[in-house]
Amino acid sequence: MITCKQVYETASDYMDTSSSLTTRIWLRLHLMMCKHCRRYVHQLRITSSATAHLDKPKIPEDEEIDRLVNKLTR
Amino acid sequence: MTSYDTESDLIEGLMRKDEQAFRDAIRQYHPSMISLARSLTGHAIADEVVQESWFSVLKALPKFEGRSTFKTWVLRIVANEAKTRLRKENRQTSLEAMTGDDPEMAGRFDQNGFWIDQPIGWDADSPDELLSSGELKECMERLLTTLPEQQCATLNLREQQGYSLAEICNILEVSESNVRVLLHRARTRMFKCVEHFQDTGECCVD
Repeated sequence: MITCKQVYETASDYMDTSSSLTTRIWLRLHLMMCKHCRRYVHQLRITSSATAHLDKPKIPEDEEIDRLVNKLTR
Repeated sequence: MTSYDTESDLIEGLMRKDEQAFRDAIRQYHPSMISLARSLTGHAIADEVVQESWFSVLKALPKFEGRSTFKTWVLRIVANEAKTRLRKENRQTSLEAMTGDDPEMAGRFDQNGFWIDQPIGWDADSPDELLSSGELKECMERLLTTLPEQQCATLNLREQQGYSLAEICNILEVSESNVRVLLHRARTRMFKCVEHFQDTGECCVD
């Protein structure tokens, strides 16, 4: 069995599927039985997906591209 | 209008110093480069770092061997340029500074590893619901600026740009186990920040 603390420690790897198969199986079994950890892993996931939408630089405006091209080709 | 369809055509166009190739390359890669540079150096000097990186990219082009995608190779140059800049300003990127402190969740478990301070329920149940609060979004963005630079860069490449762990290792020149530690810590910090906001309605960063 793995503990709640171990779920916390391996949850990030679990999201990237970079943990071992054994760890993933133990973690899933734990999640079936523990609502606190289910909540934690779910909240970690939505936090991670929300992070994807923060502070996205846009494609530069044409004038800015012109300026940069001028510098680079000089 | 994009006139270069493949990566190898684009690279060849850049070597010929074709203006359209420059425009295409900037449209394709500049936003990612800025995003990564900001995560390592902060907003103020990111533009400068990226501009320097473009010069380095052009200079190093003949050495590109296609062992990674061109974009990964370009971002590696941005990361190096940013690190050089940080070193010049005496900001350390040593291994300790690299992983940053543990964000202290350990105290929330008892000696048997059970939760004593359990996660609280949130009134948002999806990423969209979370971000519907502009205040929280701003708070998360502010937290990004306070993370140790390598944590921030790892989070940027993984969550915001969708790179695999192997590609992140390549770009930041760190081992995969370090990338995993960096991600774990950065994500935990983000989680704690959202939780704090859900709990108190206030941002954890001043």
